[in-house]
Amino acid sequence: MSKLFIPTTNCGKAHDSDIYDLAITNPYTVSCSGDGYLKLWSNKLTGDQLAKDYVIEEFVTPVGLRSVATFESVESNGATIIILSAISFDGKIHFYQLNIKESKLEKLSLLDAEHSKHSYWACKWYISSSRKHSHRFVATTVQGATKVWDFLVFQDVEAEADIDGPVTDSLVYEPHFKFQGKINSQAPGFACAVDVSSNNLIATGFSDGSVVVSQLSTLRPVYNFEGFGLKGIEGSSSTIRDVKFSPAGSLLAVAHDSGSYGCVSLYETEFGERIGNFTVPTHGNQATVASYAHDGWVFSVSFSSTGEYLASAGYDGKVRIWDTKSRERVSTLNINATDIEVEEDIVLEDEEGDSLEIPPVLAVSFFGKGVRSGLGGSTNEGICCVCSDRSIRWYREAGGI
Amino acid sequence: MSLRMIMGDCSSRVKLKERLTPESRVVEFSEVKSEEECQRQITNNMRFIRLALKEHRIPITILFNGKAKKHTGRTQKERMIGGNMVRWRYPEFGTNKKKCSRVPQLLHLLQIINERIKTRKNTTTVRDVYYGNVELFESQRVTETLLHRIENMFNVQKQFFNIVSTQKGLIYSGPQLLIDSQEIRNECQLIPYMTKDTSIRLPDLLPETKLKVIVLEKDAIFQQLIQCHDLIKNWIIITGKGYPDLLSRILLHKMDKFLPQNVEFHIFTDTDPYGIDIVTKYMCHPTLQAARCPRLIHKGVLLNQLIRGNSTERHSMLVLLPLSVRDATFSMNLICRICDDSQNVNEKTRRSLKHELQRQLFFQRKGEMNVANNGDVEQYFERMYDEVV
Repeated sequence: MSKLFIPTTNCGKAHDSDIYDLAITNPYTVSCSGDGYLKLWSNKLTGDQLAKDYVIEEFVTPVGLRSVATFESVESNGATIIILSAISFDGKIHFYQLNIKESKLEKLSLLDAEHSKHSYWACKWYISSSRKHSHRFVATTVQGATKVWDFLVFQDVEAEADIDGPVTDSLVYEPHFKFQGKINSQAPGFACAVDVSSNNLIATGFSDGSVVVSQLSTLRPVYNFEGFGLKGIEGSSSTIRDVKFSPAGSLLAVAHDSGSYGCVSLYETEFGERIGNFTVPTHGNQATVASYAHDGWVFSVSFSSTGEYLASAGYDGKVRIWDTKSRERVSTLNINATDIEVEEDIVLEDEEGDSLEIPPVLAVSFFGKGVRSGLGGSTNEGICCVCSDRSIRWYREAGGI
Repeated sequence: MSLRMIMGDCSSRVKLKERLTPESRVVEFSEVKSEEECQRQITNNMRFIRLALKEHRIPITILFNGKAKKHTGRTQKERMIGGNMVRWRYPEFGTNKKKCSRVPQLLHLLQIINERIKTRKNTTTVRDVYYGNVELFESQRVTETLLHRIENMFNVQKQFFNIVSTQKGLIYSGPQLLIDSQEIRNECQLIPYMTKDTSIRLPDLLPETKLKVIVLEKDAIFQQLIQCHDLIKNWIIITGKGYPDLLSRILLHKMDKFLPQNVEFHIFTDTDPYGIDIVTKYMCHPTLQAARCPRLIHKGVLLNQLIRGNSTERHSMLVLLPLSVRDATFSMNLICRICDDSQNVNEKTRRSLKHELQRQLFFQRKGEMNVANNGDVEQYFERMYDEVV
């Protein structure tokens, strides 16, 4: 069965340097780049509006931004709160809250001095749907530890206050963190990717190719997955690039290297069993023993809102969509630099003269129905990806209009 | 006065030790403006020390401003505060051998320096100084550290004493190159010693020749490249063998100054954080104007070039190595340093160095120049400059 995605809009020269990460909130698509800017692209555009004209720009740091994560939740006082956390290349985490009314970003400082000293690599928010549990913020350090904070949106109330009692107006907006603890790694190494599931699990991926799944409540490791597929030189060319839980939390997708190839492995989280790899069928003399998803590293994976589909983005300039049940490929998007609508914004080579005609895709994300405006936006899901030709592309599922 | 009485007076061991240590005469060394002044100061102080020790039998304390670290640019204010004042006593009482021998070492070195300044012209290497009295100095490291202290003591560079480090860098020139009177042509040489007034000339250079100055990190690449005679007939190639010594940097600065504006300066290093750091070392020096070469452009090797250059093989990315935690930490600090505006790097270079470091960190990979184009250095440079061939 195939599933088609058609391009809706795109934007070339979105940043001055490589765009390394992408996150999607309801009102905005957020991108972060090596030029140090955080950009928020409006999701609600009419047919004749260009993405470039509706963007909020925030210069964060000259060293450049590597990764971005978003927190979006409707709180008990009815207000929508959107907070962005971006990690820069010097290992610092920068927090911003979005002032939705005035469409601008306001800087927050949530980490205390002690924790700000460390260098971080990846971060994620856990949005709690129950008032009994607080929201969480998870970040991994360069040394391999995974740290967890409680994220409290309102000022602390007295301990005897009844949690189940009626919501009063006494809630004072004051976002702050409470440090919960950290999970140390068994061996020193980068913790390059992290994700939190809706059923209280944290997955941390390491550069040496192992993934540790821990419980969010106790911070105890429960599963340790290692040794995927084929090992390359020095046993460490199986670097984990991304880990993602499915929306229900029952599946864990792991993007990792296998030498020059990129693989995506799927695990189920209840018993820690490996389900299998997503593989491209190989034919004729191209056949290899490897089972890989992309002919190049896979930098990012993303589940659709139902968990039925998984998107993977690769160095080979392709975004592939997979059916998670049958583990078959249902669609491939071939990215080409000349796709960009506005001709002046096409970037065919970078500053060093390297061709970007088939640009590596550095991040991909599904977004739910009703996030983007435009034809079919309310009934179909979509995909957004960023590529090293400094562009952002949005797609939506075909049909159903 | 008996020992018991003294012990009664002193309530602690430290105080007793202080009390029992004889008074000493202070000999101070301070910063100098000219060679004559330096000579005068050394001679006078030596005489004073001799008098104290030999005739008056009084211990001495040598007082000077001397960090053991390399010469860093201290501001006038910092010098005034004198935060690094060192007091060394001789004879040293009741401590280890290392501490006891440092004053004799210092004085011996000062004596050598005094002679070197007198004789002018010919220069001595640090190694020669060390071999002059192996028993006293024990290791070359000691000599180097002491020399740094003396540099800081007088607030000068060691060239001032006519003492230099042993040459490390290599130079090759296709066209005839004159460094003062020394000729380099179609051969590989150690980078010659230069003075402040050394000039560099290319007597046979035609204005239309596209001359290139190529700086390489690695000696191995240098040796391979100088075999490719056709390719490099209009090139001057320099390698500092890893982190460059001051001499290589000074040579590059002089070339920057003396060679015409249309000469291109390109640098090639490994694509790891240390390679990028080496690029910044050639381009800027924190204090010494005469060791900067802002004209230098970083051309490679880039991660992308390694991946693309090896694309004929299926497993092109296997030539890349994983970035260790140490590499990454170094890289993260370096990226901050490059973004720091006080560094004397032009905007375009800053961007490209930053970009390469970001890619290394994001891909978590680094690469060696040796594997560019499947290890074919000649092919790599031919592709780089395909207009030349």
